[in-house]
Amino acid sequence: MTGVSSSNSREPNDLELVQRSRRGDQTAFGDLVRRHQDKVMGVCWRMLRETSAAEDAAQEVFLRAWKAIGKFDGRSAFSTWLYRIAVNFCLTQRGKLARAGRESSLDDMTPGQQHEVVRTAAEPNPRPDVALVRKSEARCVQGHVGHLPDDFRAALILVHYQGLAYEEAARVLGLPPGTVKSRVHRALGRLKESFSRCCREGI
Amino acid sequence: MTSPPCPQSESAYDFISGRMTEAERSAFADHLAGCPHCRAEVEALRVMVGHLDVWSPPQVSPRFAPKILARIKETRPRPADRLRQWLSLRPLPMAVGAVVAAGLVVAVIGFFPQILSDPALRRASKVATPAGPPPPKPTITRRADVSRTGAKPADDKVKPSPETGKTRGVRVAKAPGRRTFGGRPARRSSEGTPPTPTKKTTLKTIMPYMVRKTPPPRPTRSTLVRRKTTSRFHRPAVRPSPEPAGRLVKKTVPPPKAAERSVKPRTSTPRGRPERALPARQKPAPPPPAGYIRVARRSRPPAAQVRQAPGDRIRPKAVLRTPADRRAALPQNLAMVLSLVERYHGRVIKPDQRTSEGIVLKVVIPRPQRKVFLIRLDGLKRHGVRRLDRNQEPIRILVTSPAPRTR
Repeated sequence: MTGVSSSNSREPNDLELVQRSRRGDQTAFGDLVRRHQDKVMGVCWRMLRETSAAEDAAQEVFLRAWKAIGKFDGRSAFSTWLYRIAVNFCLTQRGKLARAGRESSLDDMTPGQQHEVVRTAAEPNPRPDVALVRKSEARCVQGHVGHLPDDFRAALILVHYQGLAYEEAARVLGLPPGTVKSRVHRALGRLKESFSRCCREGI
Repeated sequence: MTSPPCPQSESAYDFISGRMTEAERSAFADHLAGCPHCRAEVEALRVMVGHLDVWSPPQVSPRFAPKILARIKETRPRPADRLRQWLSLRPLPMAVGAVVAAGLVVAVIGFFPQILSDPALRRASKVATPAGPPPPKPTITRRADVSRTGAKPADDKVKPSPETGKTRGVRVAKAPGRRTFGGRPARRSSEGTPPTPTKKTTLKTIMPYMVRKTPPPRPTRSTLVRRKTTSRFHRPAVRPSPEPAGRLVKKTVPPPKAAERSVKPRTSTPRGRPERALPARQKPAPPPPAGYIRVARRSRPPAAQVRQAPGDRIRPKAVLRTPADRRAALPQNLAMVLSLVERYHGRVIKPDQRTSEGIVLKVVIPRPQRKVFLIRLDGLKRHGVRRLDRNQEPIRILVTSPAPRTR
């Protein structure tokens, strides 16, 4: 599992930086950006599946956080608050793209884009034959992640990729923890079915 | 052959992702030993999660944070930041203002009891004490105030208004022979009059200069209605002026012409047509006190200024010939008049006379606009009187007969 955050150990520092940012300290907010840019970028990239769109979305997320940092009450972690902004913004962007007929998915990407995504994912494996198999399987799984419904995808990204607990993901999404757990389970079930179908059809 | 579904298979993801406690993990491991369905589920999930894990996002550019900070600097600072900056730049004026305000409060608190206790100060500031029975000088007042309050010349106190039931203006202490008219503050009495010991000392009695700052009352409905009797078409302008509209002068040389002009209504239109008399709905103005006559200070502008000269032709911008056009344009015409009136805070009057081509209204906007509008109203049988705020500048509307058609 990747992306497991250690936000609990950084939470006091985040609060200090938030307090300084509230007083208009842009340097402190820059530190917050550097500290959480990977998390926000990961959520945006997995939700939007386009690098340029994800960068733009991440910038917009931090700008919105700067404008609304006075409303951050500190009851949750700053990362949780950022996740909420990022998920909401990405869901809005996906809705706009879907209405405009430009919804991106791995299946709709050009072969070069697919290769770029999967090659990045398959680089750690040293053996060429295993790398080829894993590349095919990963392409299948990741392609079907893009076909998941938005609520399933958001829950899966927060829980699996960002490593949030069910309760924290529930706070981000504004749902009960049981609902988040159910959505993750159902998303994994759909991916498993798609993965089995891909394996049977030989991809 | 597939294994039968197991309700505990939902915990397979928690098991492989390490989201279980030690007790839960050992219990689920024991369950896996006897449940082939959950074992297959765990194995399938392990393979799939392995594929999911390698799906990592691209590295964030090192220019990411500087870009965001640059965009933040471009944005307008938040109101809280602006307030903080403003406070930081102005510590001295705020401190000075606080010290001055505190000093004023202390001075007022310390000086006010001294005024109440010092007889000299009280006598010097006393202005509403009773004077002799008849006033030595006539009091300048407003005609509207006289008509509203209905105060008698020899009355010794301000009577409440018949409309509002309230006494407006300065509340003067009871004193025989003291005469006031409406909302105008009374003049100061002679110096040295001893204060009445039974009278209650109030702020108004000892500091009349504060009360005198009260704005004079505006003309009331009764005043305006009484003025309707002068003319239907040429109404005197009711101007919200701080100066009194009328005054009472001593009857040394009675000017009968002025008195007649202020009371006598007009009997003809500017073109010489007789005018119907309005029903006498309002009571006549109360007579002035003995020895005084009422003279209108502000006379209305003569009708010749806006009267159509003989031979002039009113050329409307649009003439509607057919009845269908008139019906279609009727709301627009009326809306035009009303919009003009509302724009310049005037009122619309319309007589009963009609001609074959309708009625042309010449709307004269007085100063400072000084505009003249010619509006033809076609097909209207009658208008009501539309009056907006009575304290605002009215529009004088001169109704003239339409120009004869040129064949």
